[in-house]
Amino acid sequence: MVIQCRADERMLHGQVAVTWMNQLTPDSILIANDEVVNNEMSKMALKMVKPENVKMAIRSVDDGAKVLNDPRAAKIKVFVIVRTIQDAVSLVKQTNEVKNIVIGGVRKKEGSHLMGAAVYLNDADIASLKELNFLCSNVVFQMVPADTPKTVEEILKAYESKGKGE
Amino acid sequence: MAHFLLIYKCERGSEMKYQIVLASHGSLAEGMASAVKMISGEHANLHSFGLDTWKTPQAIDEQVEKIIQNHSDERLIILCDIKGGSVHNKLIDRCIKNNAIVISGMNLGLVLDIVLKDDSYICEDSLKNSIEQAAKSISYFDHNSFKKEAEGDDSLW
Repeated sequence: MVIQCRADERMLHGQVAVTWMNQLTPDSILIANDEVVNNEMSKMALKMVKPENVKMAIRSVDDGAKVLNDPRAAKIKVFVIVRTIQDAVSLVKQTNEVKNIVIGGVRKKEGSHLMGAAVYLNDADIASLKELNFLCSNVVFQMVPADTPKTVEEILKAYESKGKGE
Repeated sequence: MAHFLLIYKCERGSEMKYQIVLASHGSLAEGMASAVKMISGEHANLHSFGLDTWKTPQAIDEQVEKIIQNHSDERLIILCDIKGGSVHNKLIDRCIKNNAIVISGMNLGLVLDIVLKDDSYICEDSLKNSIEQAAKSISYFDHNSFKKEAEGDDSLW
């Protein structure tokens, strides 16, 4: 079973990743990302930070969904990591195994507003976020387990008021 | 890093708030606090004192005394750079005087792990576990060992 799907620009990175590992204690980590899967150096770096007693698979988003749909995935605790909200949308469209999504860092880009620690959203992200929230009933924003999660509704409301303020 | 921490939920009743002091030679303590801030933001309970600024272990100890006075109902965790160094030798007395916890050989992973702990996760077992994991996080890589590690399995099962 997928215990959590995390969307974070930095994917498996430093202490933030470690705190989630502590919280979730997964058997396996699935990194679902189309760029990393073709980049040997990035793959090496990810494997290096992987905790010793946890398995890891690095796949494209499409192949990641296939892995999650394998009946064997239901028997283990899988921590899924994608890079963007868009990839999370793509993933949940291809598998019913992802029941909850936690969004961490979102990269700064054209027309984006800072919506929380390291969370930059633009109109395209908001559209994807609405789609994701429709496809998956449990989507929140949360950097580390100790933070209070923010709901999609809170973020959407805050984004709207940011738009008006400018 | 390649380490994996277990969460130790401490017994109820040990949910005491705590202050964290980083103390070092040179400016390592302030630098450590700066690195912590970059990764996890401001922590009001984190203090840092290096000998570049404070000149003597005695002066650092006086700052620690002030923190104890201002937070008399809280537990104090002191992290020093090196065991048996002058700062550590001075501050270790705080174990007896104030029931402080004194840890030596601080590194960034360890400090982050401690500052990010919930108050309810601070206890002897959880801190010792953090220390054990921090020690394991010290790693050696060269061309061959890196390739070997990186070519490991790629599978969920």
